[in-house]
Amino acid sequence: MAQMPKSQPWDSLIDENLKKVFEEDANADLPPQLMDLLDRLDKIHVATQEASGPDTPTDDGEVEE
Amino acid sequence: MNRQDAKAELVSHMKVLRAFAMSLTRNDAAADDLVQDTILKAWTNLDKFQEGTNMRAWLFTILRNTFYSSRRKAAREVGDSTGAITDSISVKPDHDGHLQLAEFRAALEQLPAEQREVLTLIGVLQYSYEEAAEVCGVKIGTIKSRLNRGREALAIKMQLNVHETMELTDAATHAVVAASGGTAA
Repeated sequence: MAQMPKSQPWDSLIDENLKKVFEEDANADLPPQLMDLLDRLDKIHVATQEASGPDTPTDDGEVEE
Repeated sequence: MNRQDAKAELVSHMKVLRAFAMSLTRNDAAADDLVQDTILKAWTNLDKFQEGTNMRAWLFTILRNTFYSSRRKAAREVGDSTGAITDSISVKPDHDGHLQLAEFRAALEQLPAEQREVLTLIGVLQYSYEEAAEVCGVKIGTIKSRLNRGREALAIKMQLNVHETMELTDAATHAVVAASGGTAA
């Protein structure tokens, strides 16, 4: 069974604020550059396995360096 | 995975992905660049994604790997081996009308990215220690340590702000009392 964090007296207040900050960021409109990127995705050349980037996890989650 | 289905799922994760990027960078422009790099890497390496697994977790992993790779590179270039300079690069949040939350954001910006990341994964996204350790590629003990240090630092900062607010209130009260000839109740 997964371990969960132990609670401290101030944890709930901090987590509440963390959630507010995250929700504000997550509810913000996406900037034009990201909207443009989504529009352009279909036109982007799709690489083969050999040409993959260094920061992309492989099937087992490992990162190629 | 059908690329149109993959694109639809990518789009559905964009806002959460950007919020996660903000939790690491605390900088709008840097977060946008990070999300853009992440989406491009994910799209061009979609063959590595196992259909039926958690795409959001996969995207988070790409994003954080990209972030820490860039940070290591920047640190090497400026001789900032501890990441202190790159951690300090941030912008102040826009005024949101909520002073306390703005103060909290400011306190959050002062934490190392590694602590903000764990606070977000566990405090916001409800990851377990094990899940956070897997995403971050560290031991569970490291996750616990980062979480505790991050929460303690925020708690201290919030308490300090409470004292500062009280001092300000006292000074304002004194000014009102003095202006009214010391007759205020």
